[in-house]
Amino acid sequence: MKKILPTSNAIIAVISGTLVLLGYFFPGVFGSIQSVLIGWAIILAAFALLLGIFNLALVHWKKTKTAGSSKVYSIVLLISLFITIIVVSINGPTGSFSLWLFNTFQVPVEISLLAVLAIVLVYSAARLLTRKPKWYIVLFLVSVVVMLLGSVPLFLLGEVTPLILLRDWLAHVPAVAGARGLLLGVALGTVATGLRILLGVDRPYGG
Amino acid sequence: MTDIICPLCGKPNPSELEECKFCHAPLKAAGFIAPSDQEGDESQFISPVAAPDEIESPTIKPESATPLEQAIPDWLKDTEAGFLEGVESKPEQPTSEDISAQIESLINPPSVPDNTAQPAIDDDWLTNLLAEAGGEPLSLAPLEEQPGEQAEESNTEITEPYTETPSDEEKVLPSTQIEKPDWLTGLEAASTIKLAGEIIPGEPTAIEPGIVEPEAETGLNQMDVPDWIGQADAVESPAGQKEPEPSIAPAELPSWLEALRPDETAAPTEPVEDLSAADIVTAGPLVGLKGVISARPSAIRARKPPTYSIKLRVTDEQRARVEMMEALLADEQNPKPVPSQPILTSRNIFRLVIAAVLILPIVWMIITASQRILPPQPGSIPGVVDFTEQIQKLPAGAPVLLAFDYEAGFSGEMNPAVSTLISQLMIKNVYMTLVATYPSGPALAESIIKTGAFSEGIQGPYTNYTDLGYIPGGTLGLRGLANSPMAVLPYSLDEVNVWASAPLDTVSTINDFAAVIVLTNDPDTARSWIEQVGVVLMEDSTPLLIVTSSQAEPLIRPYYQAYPAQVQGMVAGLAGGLAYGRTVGIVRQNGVWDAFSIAITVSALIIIVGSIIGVVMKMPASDKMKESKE
Amino acid sequence: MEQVLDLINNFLGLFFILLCLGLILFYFLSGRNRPKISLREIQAFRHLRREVDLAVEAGKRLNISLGRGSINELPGGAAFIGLTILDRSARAASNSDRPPMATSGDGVLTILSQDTLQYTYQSLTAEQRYNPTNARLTGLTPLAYAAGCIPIIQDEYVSANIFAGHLGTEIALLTEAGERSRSLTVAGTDSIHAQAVLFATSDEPLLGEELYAAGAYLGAGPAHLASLRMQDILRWVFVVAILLGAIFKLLENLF
Repeated sequence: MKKILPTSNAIIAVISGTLVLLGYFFPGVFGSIQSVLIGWAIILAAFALLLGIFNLALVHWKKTKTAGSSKVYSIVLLISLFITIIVVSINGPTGSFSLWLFNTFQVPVEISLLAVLAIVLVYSAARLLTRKPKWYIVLFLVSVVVMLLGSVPLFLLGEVTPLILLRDWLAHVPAVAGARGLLLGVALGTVATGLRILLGVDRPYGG
Repeated sequence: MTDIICPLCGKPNPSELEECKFCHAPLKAAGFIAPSDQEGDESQFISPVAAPDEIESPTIKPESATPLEQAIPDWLKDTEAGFLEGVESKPEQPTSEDISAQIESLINPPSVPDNTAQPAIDDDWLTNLLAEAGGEPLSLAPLEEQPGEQAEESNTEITEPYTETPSDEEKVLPSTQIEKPDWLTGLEAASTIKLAGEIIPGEPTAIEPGIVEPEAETGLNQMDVPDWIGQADAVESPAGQKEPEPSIAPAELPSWLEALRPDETAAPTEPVEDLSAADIVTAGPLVGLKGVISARPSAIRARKPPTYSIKLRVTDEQRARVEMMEALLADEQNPKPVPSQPILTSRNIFRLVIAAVLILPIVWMIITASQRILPPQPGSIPGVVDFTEQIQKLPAGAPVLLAFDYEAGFSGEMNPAVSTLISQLMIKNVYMTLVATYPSGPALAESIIKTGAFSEGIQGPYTNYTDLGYIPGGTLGLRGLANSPMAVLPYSLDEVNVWASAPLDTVSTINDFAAVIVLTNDPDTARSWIEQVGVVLMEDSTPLLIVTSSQAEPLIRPYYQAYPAQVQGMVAGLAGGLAYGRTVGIVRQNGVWDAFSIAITVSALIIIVGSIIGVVMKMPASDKMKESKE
Repeated sequence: MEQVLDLINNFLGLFFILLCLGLILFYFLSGRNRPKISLREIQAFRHLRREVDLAVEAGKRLNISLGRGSINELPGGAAFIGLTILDRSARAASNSDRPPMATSGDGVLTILSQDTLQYTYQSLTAEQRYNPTNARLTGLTPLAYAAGCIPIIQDEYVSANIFAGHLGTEIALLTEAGERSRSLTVAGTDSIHAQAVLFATSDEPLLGEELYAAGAYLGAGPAHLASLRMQDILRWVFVVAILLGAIFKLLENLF
């Protein structure tokens, strides 16, 4: 069984992937089977989401049994999870109580994290030249400063037209060009990864 | 004439000789008994140990023996005597007379004429080596005085490796001798027992034919058989035959060998042990000898081996090191407590300072609702005007697909534009169809709708919309939505089949919507909508509008600026939202723009100042490193 | 002619995929009989290999974050690369006192990471070391995912953090947590914004398609080397095509 299962998994993965890929190019022939397989994939993804939440609960449940100061946070997480499940199950995902939980806890917490992210980015940028004193770091920092100062009118200084023009040029010429180049490379890598899976060489599903 | 058995090589020598004519070992040493003096058929190899009484016969004259003679153990004397008497020996107790004769012959070696030729080699061991190697024992140089006798007595069968004429060198010791190493001297002293002051170059005498005959009779190859064996065979001849030994021509030594001649001026040292008072062996093969380590069982006393203390002798230094090692090992067992890191480090302080410098001005601007900074103008931000026009073109009551695909954390940046959009859609009485590819999208959408309705002063719950909920599958779900929205989202969150009633009953494909508006902060999500859904929308020129954050704007703008444009209008970031608000007449006076402006300015200043300070502070450190390297 | 152009336009993607497939197969089959090709030095992978060894020696663990990219979407490619890195790292650190831990922000990715760990330990005949909770879901939203990863970095005796997958700007919070806990951070993502953040915050960033070369650099097999060579060739093809297109457009505008 140990030898049969990996081989069968690989065969299923290769055939399914090939049919979905061919469905994009030959919709008349493979379109229907592609829709069926995509539907199955969507259902499995939704069920995998539930399994992931169960895994999260199990991990923190085990943490509550161990000694340490971090188990308090695990207890809070589990209580919050169960309360949310109960409230949303009763009130619905768009009920008043559900929205109250969402607006009171999730939105402020995520906004706070994003604010911390902004401070972290500023702090990292301020220390970057100290950590890596290279010429391209100087170029990077100059670009950052130009982008910042050119995006809004400066306090007490107002709009600085050269900065704004420079910022627009930086944002829409070199930055986009570099981003496109990176995206092309990422696309090539994604194609290569997908083809390795279609060939059965790469088996992330175990086997 | 009795023969004296050489103690070293075991060959018989005339009694008048003081040195062995074969190996030049001194013959007149104490303890050696000439075999001819022995009575009876005695073994030449083994001289039975005489009885103590016999040994103590007056024939033994240890008193008159020289110190060197005294040094020769009796067993050696007996061994030599027995050695020369032949193989077939009758184990017989030697008489005391025989023993004494042997000893006497050794004590009083035969005199050597003055004109005896100098032995080619003083070193008996070397002579033996050469003899064994060449098969020809080094024969002593024949005497000039007795050439004929020596010629007759020469042993033709005993080939001589070389001969040396004694005329030039027999009487004169080499004036210059090679300085011997100490080990060689000691070896010679151990191997040859030389009489003190009586070391005389041995006279090479011929071996008696009688002795030689057995060798000839045996027919052995003289090259292979050592001389002592030949001599033993010769001795095995019938007892009583005491024929004179034929003279052997002295060997001719090479110069280098001659140079190795020891310095005869050095007096041989006497043996340390005085055997005169030693016990005489009375039984066994070494009978008659003195100073022999007894091999008799009774001599070996089986006794308990001495016990030694197993306690180590440990010095103080070693003890100190052991204690140090034990302390080190004990430290390994005990886990070292991890030093707690201080809370207030320079990095933490720096972070707090940055946070304070950023947050305080922002809070101040919001509290004071500052309006100092000029708000963004719609014309200065590309995409806002087109976005506004597209919204204005929407017919009243038309279904519009609204995708809430931004995270709750980006609400601060997105909400000004989203709330303005929602209010405009409500004013136009557009039927909003809400979808989301993010799990938190539906809740976010509901919240925005309720807030917008409240801000518009709408009494009661706003119902001119439907929330179809979360689209699973990501990009695959979008593909399915583009092909058939009804198949992907058949029911709303309220579990109502909205596709069966107005206004969605006229919608069968995505192109049936008046517009598709995507609200997202992620450029990848925007690209997915553009590439999966926008392609289908372009077929019927259904506008695709995007509200995004400023971080995604550079990546979305090419789609907006493309020809044909894949995105018909876009609002990006806080600036775009405020500009869009100004376009439709909504001006927010909550200090957000001023706060944003001051935050950006302070951030840029922090980055500049921090970089300069870091470089300035690092320069002395790098200089110090360079100096230390130099 | 128009039909031909329509045909090309419709099946251009298929031609491209067949070309990629052919190149991969060609280099895979021909590479068997040839000596191993030399790859240019990428410092991040060198430090990664060293950090794996140091983690085993120190008795600490690796934290491998696979991001929140779903395999149903475009970022799924980066997620698969993260699974490859997880497999190789788990093999290298299989005899460590503390096995590596995998975190993800997607349910499917969580199950795949569990499967990867289980298969890795099975192949090493060390099934007893597999613990399903070592591959966990930490959050469903980007910031929730980051918030769930930070305690793992700080409290689970992590010596090195490997971020490989689809991560957004929230990765700055993770790299900051890694710096606070004095652990090395090797990070690669397919998100453009996140790469800009990594450039400033990470010790060893993997930019562009360096992330997709992880399999080849970590010895995942000859197929990874073959696909890497395919990428190199097609990259130059794209460069030439873009240059030619720009030149033609320029000439068209001029004349």
